[in-house]
This record gives sequence, structure tokens and C-alpha cells, in this order.
Amino acid sequence: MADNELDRLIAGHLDDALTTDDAARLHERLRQDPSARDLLLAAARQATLLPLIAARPVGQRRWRFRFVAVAAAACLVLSALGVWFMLAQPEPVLRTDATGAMASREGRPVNGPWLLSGDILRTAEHPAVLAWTDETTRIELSPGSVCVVERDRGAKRLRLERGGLRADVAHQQPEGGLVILTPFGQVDVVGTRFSVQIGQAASHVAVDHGAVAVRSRPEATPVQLQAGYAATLDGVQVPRPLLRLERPITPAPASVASATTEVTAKDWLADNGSGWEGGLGEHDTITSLATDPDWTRIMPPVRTQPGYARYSDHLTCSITVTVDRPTTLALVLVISQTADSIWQGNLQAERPLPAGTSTITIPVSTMRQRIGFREQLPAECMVATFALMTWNPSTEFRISRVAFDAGR
Amino acid sequence: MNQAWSSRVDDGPPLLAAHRRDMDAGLGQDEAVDGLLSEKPLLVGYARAIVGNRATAEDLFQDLLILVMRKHAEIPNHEALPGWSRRALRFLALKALEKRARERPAMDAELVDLIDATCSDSAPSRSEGYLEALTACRDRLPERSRRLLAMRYEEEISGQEMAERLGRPVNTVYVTLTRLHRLLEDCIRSRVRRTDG
Repeated sequence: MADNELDRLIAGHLDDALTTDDAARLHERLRQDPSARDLLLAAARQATLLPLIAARPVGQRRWRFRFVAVAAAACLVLSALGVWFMLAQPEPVLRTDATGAMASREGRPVNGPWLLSGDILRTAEHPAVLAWTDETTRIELSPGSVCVVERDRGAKRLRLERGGLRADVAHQQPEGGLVILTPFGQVDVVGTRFSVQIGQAASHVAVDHGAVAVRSRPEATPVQLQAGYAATLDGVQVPRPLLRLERPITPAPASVASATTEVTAKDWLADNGSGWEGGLGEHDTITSLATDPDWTRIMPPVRTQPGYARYSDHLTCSITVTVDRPTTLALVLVISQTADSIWQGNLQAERPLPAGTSTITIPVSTMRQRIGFREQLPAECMVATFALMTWNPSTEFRISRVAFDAGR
Repeated sequence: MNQAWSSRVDDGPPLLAAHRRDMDAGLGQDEAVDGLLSEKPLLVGYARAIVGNRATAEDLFQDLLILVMRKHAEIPNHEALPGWSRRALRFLALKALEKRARERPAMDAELVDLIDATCSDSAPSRSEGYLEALTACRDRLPERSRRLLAMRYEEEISGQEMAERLGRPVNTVYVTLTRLHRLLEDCIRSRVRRTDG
């Protein structure tokens, strides 16, 4: 194979444009020839780095060489470079479709779609889309929102004063990323899809794809929030990443309601309106989540009366869950006496879980006694709460339905 | 009563509890994420060599970031981070290729291992030094060559579209681009050798 052909194949591979035959040829050549692998790695590396060079201001690129100037002039040079660097940063051009939105600049309406730092955008009955011309980032402001455009050195900042937004953010440079500021905390974005909703006492952030960093106060250490997780920013406490439901759960049809207890979305939400925040406290009204490098566990509030289900050998539990890699699902049922809520013991079962969405049905009769159960069970017992865990957790662990069926 | 339930559940099943890790050991999350972000260009480049597609390589890096957030305690120190990251990225890339295998022919694990070994032997250790050398070397290229590279990688114009715009066969565009990469790499290596010397 001539070098011309290797060159063609490597560039075609990096263009994602090889035919099946060409791909086979390239793979064979790479297998046989270490220098071909070396060239491929170099080309891929350069292909990734060349856009960064274009994005870097010249002052930043040449910094090292300018710094070796005469020591007496160094401070002066650096100051000048600093000023130049700040001036040289291009202003990202932000535009809005402005349908149903009103933008204002220093108290006057803005004519045209272009927005500058300090402009305020208010949406009424319709959403408005914000987009920067030099990237594919797209932000949709919900109806009834107020957003101020800000800028801090290289970073793009949107101050969301009211309402909510959904963001689909292109990959950002770490030093020039996007920051969403809310009255109760901020979200630092490198590149992801997420949403923000401001409530009366807190802002809620939920991540669909990628990850963001959230913090309740500007000086606080950021907390990483990954896809499938949500957190509440209250302006004070360190936010806790908690699993979020993919969608609200619909109750079971009336015809089977008498025999089936569905754990609805409401059961998994805190009564105090703080979303997924909180742990198992005195009143046990809040869903808890715990994570470890090897497992993730979610547990809904304890239900003292009448429990999630009446305990019997005929009881089954069905769980609809989504994971992105094969793992093991563990279910623990906490059994207590119905009359006085005295804890009796925990039952446990594990099931293999394939990647994707599956519904796992576990009959209680197949679960083993894990702890407790020292005496004969009282006549009336209930499932007071339960825990769902994955072992070697997936990056996606979404529970969309849990149902208890009393059987006959 | 309820607290007692809580602590009992917190014990976790033995299967899961047996796999607890000592969270105090290894790199902190911020430290690991910062280290990873500073070497992002080289890691994305490595992923792109395997998967070809730029967007897929960027997505793999995002997945790696999430993995590091979860597993940072398993990375003993800064020195171990690049190797750990590349191994994880290799694993993620193979998974991505597996998903795409029905659509197009993809590298197998054996070939990816060969590429990984080559990368261990010859890849630059730091993004910043490589970036400086690449900048200097690119600036020495003729204007026409710089323009070709800019069209392809800065403006992200495909080889086919470049060929149409330039009125040249697509194969000629590809061959020229890779030759430019070869020239640049030779230049970078000689600069790095001079600097090290």
C-alpha cells in the first residue's frame, strides 16, 4: 500500500467517511504498521488541538516567549499584555428569536435580535430562544422568565431572575464556559443538556446529559451533578445530587387499584417542596439517596400507615428501571407490624439487570430474610419502606415505576 | 423507630457492602477533575484516533469525566491519572464502537490495544507543551496549507465539501491533509527534542 493510500484512509477516518472496504484496509494497515498507528494518533491529536489554537488569543499563545524579556520590563509587558488580553477577548454574539419576549437595554427596548451585556430579556406567554452565533448552544427561556445577559472575562453568564430555562450547551472551553446564575445559587457548564427552574425558596437543576457543577453560594465548593440527577440550590446549604424520575408516574387503572399499590411520583418527592433534597429524618417524609463508588441506593419515605403494601407471601414487587450498562439490582423491603409500626425485619433479593429499560418482578416468597425476623411474624405486617440499589452502578439509574401487587 | 430502620437499611446487603471502597484514599474529586480537564485535548485526540468522529470523541470525554467523578478515589495520585484515564477511555471507546458496529466497520479490541500501546510509547505527556509546539509549527506552514487545516478543523468542513469548494478530488484533499499532519508532527518532535536538549 502506498503512503498516499494510508494518508487518504487516515484523513477519511477522521472525517468519519470511510467505506466498509476502506475501513478494513485502514485497520489492516494499522495492525501491521506501528508508524501508521503513530501517524493516526498524531493526526487525531492535531485535529483536536488545531481549533484550540484558533480560539486562543495571540497574547496567550506567545506568553511564554514574551515572558523571557528583560526582567526590568517584565512587569510592564505583563500589564500591557493583561490589558490587551482583556480587550482582545471577542464579545460572544448573542441573539434571541424574541418571539413573545421583550428585551431592554438601559430601560429602552432593544431593536433587533442582538443582545449585549446588561440587556434584560423578559418572556411573557411564549418561550424565547437564546443562541450564540459562534457555537451551537441553545437556551430556551420559559414563559414568564426574566434573564439578564452578563459577561465575566471569557465566561458567558446569564442571570436568571425569575422563571426557568432548558439548555443544550455545546462543549465549552473550561476557562470560557457558560454560567447560569440564579437567586439561590449558580450552575457552571462545560457542555451538557440541563434545566433550571426557580421556585419561591430554591432553584432546581436537573441534568439530562453530561454534567454541570452547582453551588448555592459563589464562594462555595461546586458539587458535580451528573446526567439523571437533580439538585436544589437554596442559597445556603451544599446541594446534594439526587436521582430524578424520568417522568411522572401514572396511577394504576381503577380496575386493579384494589390489588395493586403504585408508588407514585408524589411519594418520591419531599413534602416541603424542596424536590429531592433531604434524608431519612424524624418525620421520614423525604426520599433519600446514597452513593458509593460501587453502589447507588434510593429509598422513598417511610410510610407508617398503611405502608406501601400489606405483607404476605403472595405479594410481588415490580420495578421499571433504566440503566445504561448491565448491573445487579437489589431490592430490600423493610417489614413492620401494621398495628404499632414495630420493625420486624428486612427482606432482600438481587436480580441481574440488562442495559436499557426493564421491568423486574420479584415475588416476596423468593426473597431471603436479611436481618430481623427473630420471632414469628404478627398477623398484620406491612412494607414500611424499601430500598433499590444497583451494584457497580450505571451512569444512568432511573426508576420510573414501582408497584406492589397483593396477588390473590 | 424510623431511625432504626434507616440504619438497618444503611448497612446494605452484604453483596454490596463487601465492595465498599475506602473513600479517603486516592485523588479528591476536584483534583481528579481538574487534572482531567487540563489534559482534555490529548485525551479527546486519543479517543478520536479510535472512533474517528469528533463529536463521539467529545462525548466519550464527557463520559470519562463522569466516571472520574465517581471513581476518583481509585486513582492513587496525579501521576497515575493519565494512565487511568486512557485505560478508562479505551474501555468507553470500545463500548461506543460496539454500539456503532452495526452501522459501520469499527476497530476491534485487539487493534485498539495496539493503538494504546503506540500511544503509551510516543504520545506527548502534557497538552500545554504540545500545543505550544503545534502553534509554532503551524505558523511556519504556507498560508495555503494553514487555510486547508482551518477549513477542515476550525470550520469543520467535511473533506467532500472541501473538495467541491476547491475543485479537487476528495482523495487529493485527504492526502494533502494527512501530509500536513505528518509535516507538523515532524516539526513538533524536533522542537520538543530541542527544548528537552
